[in-house]
Amino acid sequence: MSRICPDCGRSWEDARSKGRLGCTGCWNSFRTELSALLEESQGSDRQVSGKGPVDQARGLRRHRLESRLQVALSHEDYTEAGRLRDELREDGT
Amino acid sequence: MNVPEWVEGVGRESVLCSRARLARNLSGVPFRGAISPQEARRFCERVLDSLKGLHPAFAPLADETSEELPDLVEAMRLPGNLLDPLDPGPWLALEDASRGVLALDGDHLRIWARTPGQSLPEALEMAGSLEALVREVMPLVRDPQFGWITASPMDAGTGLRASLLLHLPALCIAGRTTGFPEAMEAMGHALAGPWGGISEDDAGLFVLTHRRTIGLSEAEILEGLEGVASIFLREEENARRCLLQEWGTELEDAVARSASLLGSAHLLSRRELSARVRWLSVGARLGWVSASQARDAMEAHLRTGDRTLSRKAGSVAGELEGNLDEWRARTTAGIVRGDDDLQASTPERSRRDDA
Repeated sequence: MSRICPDCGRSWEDARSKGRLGCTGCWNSFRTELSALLEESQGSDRQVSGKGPVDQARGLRRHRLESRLQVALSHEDYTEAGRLRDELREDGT
Repeated sequence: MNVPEWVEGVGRESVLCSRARLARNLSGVPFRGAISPQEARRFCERVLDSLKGLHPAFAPLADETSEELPDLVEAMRLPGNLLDPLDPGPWLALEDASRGVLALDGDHLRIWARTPGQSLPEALEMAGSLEALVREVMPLVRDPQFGWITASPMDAGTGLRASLLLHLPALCIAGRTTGFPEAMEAMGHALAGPWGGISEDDAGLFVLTHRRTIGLSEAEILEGLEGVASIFLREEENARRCLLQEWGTELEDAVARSASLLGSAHLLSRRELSARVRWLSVGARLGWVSASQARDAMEAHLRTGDRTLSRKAGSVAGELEGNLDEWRARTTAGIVRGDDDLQASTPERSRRDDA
């Protein structure tokens, strides 16, 4: 018999067939089933811990600016390199 | 209707805009589909009360009762599923120009930001900043194992749905888009039309997004998406070059015909306007017409969707006997010629005036 979420009354079978859970409590109620589903469909059932979206976005942008700076320096394009260095400074690095 | 700012890139760019959406939820409130209409209405009021003071320009854009909903969907400012008569709401959209919050569209809160061109980190930073503000006034639920928990298991983990709006007119004209969705699926990504499935009526617009949301960081998701997008950009350039080599004068003729036809047509189907946008966009990239001509055509395309025209027809009952193609042609000519009167008048009223 399919398990039921005590918070919203939705069964796992119902949630699975609709592709939607009933409430946040369903994640606890169907933890085992959801782990298996995520492993199968996304290759992982565990979120990587770490920085939040703002820090991730800033880190990515900074990494790109630094890469472009290296390219500009290797091409001896000092005008572009100066502009990128200013941009990195403004970015707080 | 406000035309979205990404239209500025039409005729110049292949990535028109970047979008990041963060799905976030609260405990003690059922998800859409399990929540009663009364509880949903109370939740929307709670969201409005909590969020309206976050930013001076943060204002309600629409809810399930808004008459402009078809226009907002056709301008890609709101998702098309909000038009589903079988799932009418309540829901609430708050917007501050290029970022906003959608309450009860699947998740309790979908916090989004849109930036022009290929700028996914900037879009994520904007959405993340807004999320940080929201978190101060609303308790969002995070699980130690699953990360941000969501209404659909397919959004869990980061809760991030990042997407790029691609404009690939040369690939469409060259007939080289067949098989793209399947190839993207195999690469763990998804390619769709801006209003759902891929269609010839979409003026060469596509939305590229990722499948995985858990087990990867937000930065890894963005990098994967940009890597796949670069394939499309290269293929679009190749297709443009091939069209120029193989079609030559015929290509130039199609662009020139499109430029003159949009200002003078009396009947214009959605499909034909879509094709003309594609020709003009390729022509603009080749320097044969100005980018503003391609932009005007795209603006006309966004403002003359069947749902938008039908809504306008309903508001002037009796004036339009369902001839949307005639109204589309007049609106398009008005935009292309910069003639406000032509855009505002209905075909029937115009015929009476002429008589």
